[in-house]
Amino acid sequence: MKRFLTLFLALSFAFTGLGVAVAQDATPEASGPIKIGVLNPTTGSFAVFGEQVNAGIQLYFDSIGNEVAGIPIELVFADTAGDPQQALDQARRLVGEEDVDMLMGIINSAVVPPLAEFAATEEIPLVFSVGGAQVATGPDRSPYVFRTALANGQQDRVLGWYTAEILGKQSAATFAWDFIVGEERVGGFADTFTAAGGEIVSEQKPPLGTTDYGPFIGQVDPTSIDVAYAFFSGPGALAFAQQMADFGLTPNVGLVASDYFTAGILEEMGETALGLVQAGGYTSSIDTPENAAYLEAFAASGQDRLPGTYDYEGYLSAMVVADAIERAGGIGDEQAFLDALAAADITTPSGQFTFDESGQAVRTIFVTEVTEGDGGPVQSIVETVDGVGQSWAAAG
Amino acid sequence: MRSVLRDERILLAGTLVLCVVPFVFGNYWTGLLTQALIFAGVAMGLDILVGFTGMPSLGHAAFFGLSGYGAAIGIQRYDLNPWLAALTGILFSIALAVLFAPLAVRMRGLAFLTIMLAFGQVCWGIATRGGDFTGGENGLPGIPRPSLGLGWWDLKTTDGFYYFTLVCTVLVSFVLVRIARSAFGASLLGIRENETRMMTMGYHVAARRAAAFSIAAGAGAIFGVLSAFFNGYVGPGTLDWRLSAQFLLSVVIGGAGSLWGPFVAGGGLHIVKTYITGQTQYWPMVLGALYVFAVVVLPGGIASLITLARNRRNRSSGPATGSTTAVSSK
Amino acid sequence: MSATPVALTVQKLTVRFGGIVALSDVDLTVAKGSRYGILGPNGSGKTTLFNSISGLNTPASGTIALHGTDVTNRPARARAKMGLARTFQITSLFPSLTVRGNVAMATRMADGVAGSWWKPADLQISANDDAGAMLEQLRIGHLANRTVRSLGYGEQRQLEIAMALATRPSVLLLDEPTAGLSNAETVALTELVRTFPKELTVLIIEHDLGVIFELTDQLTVLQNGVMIASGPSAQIREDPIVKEVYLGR
Repeated sequence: MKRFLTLFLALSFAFTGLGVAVAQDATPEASGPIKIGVLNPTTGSFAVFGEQVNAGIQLYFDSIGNEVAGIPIELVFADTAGDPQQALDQARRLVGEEDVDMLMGIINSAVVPPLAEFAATEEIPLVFSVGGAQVATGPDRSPYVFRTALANGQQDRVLGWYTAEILGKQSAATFAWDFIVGEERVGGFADTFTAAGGEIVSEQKPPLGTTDYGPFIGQVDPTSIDVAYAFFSGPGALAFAQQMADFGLTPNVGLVASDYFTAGILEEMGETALGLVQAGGYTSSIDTPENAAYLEAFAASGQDRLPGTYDYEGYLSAMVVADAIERAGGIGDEQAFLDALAAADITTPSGQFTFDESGQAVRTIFVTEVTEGDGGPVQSIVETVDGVGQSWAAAG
Repeated sequence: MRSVLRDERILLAGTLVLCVVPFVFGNYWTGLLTQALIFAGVAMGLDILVGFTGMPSLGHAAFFGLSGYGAAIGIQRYDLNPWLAALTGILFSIALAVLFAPLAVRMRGLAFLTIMLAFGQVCWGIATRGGDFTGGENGLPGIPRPSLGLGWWDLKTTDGFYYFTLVCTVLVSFVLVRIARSAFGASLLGIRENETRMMTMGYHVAARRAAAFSIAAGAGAIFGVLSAFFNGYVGPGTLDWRLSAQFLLSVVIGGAGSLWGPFVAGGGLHIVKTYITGQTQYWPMVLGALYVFAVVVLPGGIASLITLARNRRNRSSGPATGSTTAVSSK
Repeated sequence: MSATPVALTVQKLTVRFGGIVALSDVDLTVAKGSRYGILGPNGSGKTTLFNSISGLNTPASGTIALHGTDVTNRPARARAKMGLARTFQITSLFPSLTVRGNVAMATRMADGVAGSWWKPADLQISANDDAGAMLEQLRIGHLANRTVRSLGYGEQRQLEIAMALATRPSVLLLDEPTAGLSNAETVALTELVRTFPKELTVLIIEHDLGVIFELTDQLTVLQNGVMIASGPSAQIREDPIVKEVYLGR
């Protein structure tokens, strides 16, 4: 029996030593760098997006020499794997052990509410670079929480209005994967579409990740609608577009979509993509000096493609954070930093950027249409709406 | 030589060591150990089902998550006092286990594993599709921690909640240890080894399996509520089969049937995972390799280290008593 | 027939497995305290009969009564509680437990403490003492702390019987107790059965004719699930049909 006591005591001493070492390690230096914890999934099904946002954040801080207001910036990356529990564990590690001054990143909606809760109780500033769950910037939002990305449905509000008002479509069917993001995004679209006199005839909710839409498309009478709204991504988006075409509903007779029909998917779609209308917070075809500079920096970072939404959202969030640090003269005075964030008013590659009183980004939304380009389909901006907030509605 | 008080001594020594943690470590380690104790307790409870009764479950997270949901819903939807809500959550989870047990315990081995997986996924599905009531995929953030009404013991602080978790862990593990060592616990081993023999000796095998199932669920439920209070949040992830897999893995790596092994593994895996995830982006591979290594090198789990050490000592200090080799009977 | 109380009655018992008839219209009447032998070639349905009596299979038709109570629809555990115990032809123990742990599983049930969930089993003094006594009685007391896995085959067969006896049964079914034993061990086992209390009813399946004619007073012979003879052992021994199908094998 003595053995067990010995074992436990030995272990406790080992831990004690470790603890002291850790404690000494974590002693903050008087004027150390600003440490930013970047929490994104780099494993699991969101890994691709996480890597892009990480790279975007890194790219921006690199572009300003990793220094703001004369203080060096140090990024500490951690992997959430897209799992709420792991995200919480890693957030605790970043705050408790790495001693970071703030957190950013996130990506998937499932991780948004627990992390928002964590930021509120731990009183640590948190900026959602991506992660649309509306609740984070809803009525119960904590003053420590900001979101530079669009809330779910923010861009779809513009799309709904545009579809009814500008395209003159009267009746729509919506197709969205059956999970919270799909629900919130369809909600945004339906809100402004019906406000502008349109009618939603059918709401189809295929299971998340499905690629066989036949049963769902079959339930909608093509003659009863003049437009379909789609929220799908990746192979699902491509499969949906192709199956819709089989049913005779190609974009030129009316398909509007979430901004997940990326360049790669449009290329695969070929001619059938022509006429597809999407709305989003960023497209590489924005013609401003700021965007030109961003495209150049992106290319210089060794990328041989054009930046997509996730690349840009990472970059944008870093830009907003850096700007607030600059104006607050650091991050040591937390309240000053939060106030500076709230007061953001920046010209970004995607237009003017501010926050509303709930910490949600107010941004320009770009409506694009796929047109014939030299080397295949290209997305051309057909409408630009400035100052779109999370509950935007068309004026008048 | 197995002292009657062996487990009590382990418990006492462990408690003493864990009591000093907040004095030695920072808030971070105290918080990390809180979550580790929670997972440790779940794994220990699950061992009653997996190690003792021989019923490997891949749906145990359901009982862990549902009690958290029960507490959160009680507080947020019905304005219950947090203590009452916690009790409601725990009882809800146990009631579900008791209701589901008669069906579940008819299955054996892989069939049981599978039906529990399905059970867990149904719970996950209900939580995900529960609309505003369960918070859907968002889950339920903003669960307030209860108060003990003691000025010097505030559960809202990291240390305060750590000690509360420690007290719960000590109580639950003491009860589990006593159950395991009782005649009832011995009968679970009998059921694991030879169900038919137990029946022909007059044991109500199905009832005892159901009881083991409910006891494991009860431990899971208690720690599920603690986890919900600790994180201030419950979500579908707390019901996910991957969490169930982590619990089952903890039992296997710890040494099924040893109680303390799964306890150490349940907490240890959490700490190791959190640490390695912070060190390398290849953490899934490192963890996977570690699991494989553990299972290959120590097929009896962490607990078998102690047996190995004892046997080695016995061998060097006289004739072995613990592991006598078979003597043919001529 | 007589005033002797009946311990076990089996009437018109038929057991089917799928399309195969394992037992067909088997009748047994076993008087209290008798030594009753079941004889028959492999596959004749002897173990199936024991399984039916102990409640491990579901008969297609027929009834089984224990001490005058119909138990046909009662589960195995209920029959055990009514005093029925059995051994298995293929050794059926708890391999990773100690010998004492195996027997204690039975004595705790007999002592009514098997449901205790708080008091450590090691401290169930009377059940443990009973287990020790049982082991001594079978002369395997020295093996008490060995795990079953480490026992030799003969020792396991003895333990098999110890566990059945430890439940303090009134009716004991022994399924080929001498299978695989050496001559010396067989003799010892025969001696052991002789020492069983007079009031204990014993049914015994046995291939060793020497053993069975020495121990039993009544015999039933099965072939292909059908009773071909039944009566006092001495009589069966001379039965020409039995001689042909079984003894002349």
